[in-house]
Amino acid sequence: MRQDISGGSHTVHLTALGVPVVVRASGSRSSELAQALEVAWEWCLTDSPAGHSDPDGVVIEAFLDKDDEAVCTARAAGVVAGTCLEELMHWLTPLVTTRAITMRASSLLMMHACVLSDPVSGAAVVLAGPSGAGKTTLARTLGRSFGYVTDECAAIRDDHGVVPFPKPLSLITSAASRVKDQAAPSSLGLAAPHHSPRVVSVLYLDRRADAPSSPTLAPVRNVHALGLLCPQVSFVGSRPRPLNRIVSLVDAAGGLRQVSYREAADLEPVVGKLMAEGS
Amino acid sequence: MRVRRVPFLDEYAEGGESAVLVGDRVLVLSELATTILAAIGDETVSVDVVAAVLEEAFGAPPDGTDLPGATAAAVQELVAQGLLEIAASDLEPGTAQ
Repeated sequence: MRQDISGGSHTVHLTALGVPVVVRASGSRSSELAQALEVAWEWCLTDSPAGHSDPDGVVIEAFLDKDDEAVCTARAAGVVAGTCLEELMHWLTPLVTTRAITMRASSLLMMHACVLSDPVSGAAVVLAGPSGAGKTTLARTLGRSFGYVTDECAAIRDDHGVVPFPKPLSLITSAASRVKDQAAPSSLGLAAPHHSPRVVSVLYLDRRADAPSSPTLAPVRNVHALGLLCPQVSFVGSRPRPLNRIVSLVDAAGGLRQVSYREAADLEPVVGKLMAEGS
Repeated sequence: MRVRRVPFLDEYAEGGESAVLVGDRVLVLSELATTILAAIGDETVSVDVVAAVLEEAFGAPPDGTDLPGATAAAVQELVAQGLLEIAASDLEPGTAQ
């Protein structure tokens, strides 16, 4: 049982980056919100903790109601509130993610990156890059062949293991809409991640329409790798010696390589080869 | 003019170049900038001393090059990037860092 019901509110229990997250849904449409959360966050659901809340966890209050006035009152009280389910889901995904990242800032290296893993060996390829580099598209496209670990937040331990974060994928469904659809990984046909992925390769994404038809990999020296990767690391200065930690990761993965490519599908053989070499 | 380094959260050097983390900014530095920072170390150092280190590291500049002036310009660039600060006693009156 992952959803508790009490006093007209519904509670959904998640794990995000290893952080216990409780979303308390309230309002006249709380049941609808809780069900949508359970669908979209299917691979991050956990059983409810027995008895008490986790002191190291995160609690998020969310309010879905058809009454505008009730929504305004909830917002004034600091609750994430709305009258539109899709809009609320759109807000909750980054909120859960940022709250979890904040909780893990002192214990994990967290990087804007898509991560895919070999379903058998757990060999994981990290595909890093800024917004617009194609991370979610890569997760959506290659995650059908390889295990979907995360689409935008690689959480890497000092032993270079990856904490899986198979969150909903935020997809633009209409150019006119300012709300992204929060798609459940299984609804896109993605494969579940290996239970214990470990980094075997780190790539920096360079998606260009004029890239060669076959992707090219160019080695990046460590000093310049830091210039590319550090802007993609959350809370980069929150742990001792962050630059040297990143270099340690990159060295263990055979050095950072910049991959120039056109379409996500073009990278499938590249990613498959790197996984095979690292298995 | 005398300068000193601001505290770096971390630094990494390889092949003569380096990367430094100041606040939440990482800066990738050329061999020249890396040598200037190494010359300064943890001390407050005059630009003349930095110029001497650069000459030793990279050789004498081409004829007609104003070494002290070129060094001062490079140091000022690192000041502008927030990696160095001018010693308080060398600031002109009314100048804020």
